[in-house]
Amino acid sequence: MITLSSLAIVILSQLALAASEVCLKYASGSDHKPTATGPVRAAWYAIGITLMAAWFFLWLHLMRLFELNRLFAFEGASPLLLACACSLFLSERITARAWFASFLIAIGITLVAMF
Amino acid sequence: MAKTGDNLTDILERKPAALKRRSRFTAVQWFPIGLILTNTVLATFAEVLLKVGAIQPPTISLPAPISFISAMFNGWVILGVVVYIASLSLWLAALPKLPLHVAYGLSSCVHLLVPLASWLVLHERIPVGRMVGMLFILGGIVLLAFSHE
Repeated sequence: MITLSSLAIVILSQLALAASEVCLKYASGSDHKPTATGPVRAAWYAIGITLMAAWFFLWLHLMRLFELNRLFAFEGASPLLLACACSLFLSERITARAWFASFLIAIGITLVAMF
Repeated sequence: MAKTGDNLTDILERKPAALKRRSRFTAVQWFPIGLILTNTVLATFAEVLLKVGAIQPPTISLPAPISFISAMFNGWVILGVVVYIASLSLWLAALPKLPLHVAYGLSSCVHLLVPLASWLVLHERIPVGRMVGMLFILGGIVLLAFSHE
């Protein structure tokens, strides 16, 4: 049974996960263009890992409430949520094909949730 | 005739460059994709281990505000955390090599593997509709893998 409070925890966990991934990517940069260095880089890693730990404990709590495959269905919005975050905060260029692929994944996960 | 010869020279000159580009794509792009797919397999193992641990009664019960931490005191959960850390290490290794939206989309492979593992190990049911959804996810992942140049 999905209650309002459990749904709020699901949303919070997804936001924590997206934010942690953006922080980790910001810290690691890319092979072609490293971004942060030294203590700044360590700080971004620390924030990313802290947010991921927050997501982990929320997820562990949710596992007690839902079946594992049902719980994963709620992650449907995360590829789209993360694509938006990448575009906004990391200035990644997302191709039309990548958007379409993300939508396919989101539809797939929604279908998984419906059945 | 001379024009045909010129064309042939052009083609012969262009071909090695095209082959070089192709081999560079294979080496540089498929390695991080392989890292992420291995990461998803490890993450699936971790999820199953955590689920097995989470449904067992905790050995230590903590008071109400921090009761959720009591789930940590279980061998399966600890093993799940270790496997998660291994999975995270692979993720961090792959992250600088791919744009985050591509890497994260590919990691959705875990949505295929977890229901399959839940069915195999935990005997959870997978209805036909859910299988169709899983096929959509697979299509999206394949499309995303080839969307990055």
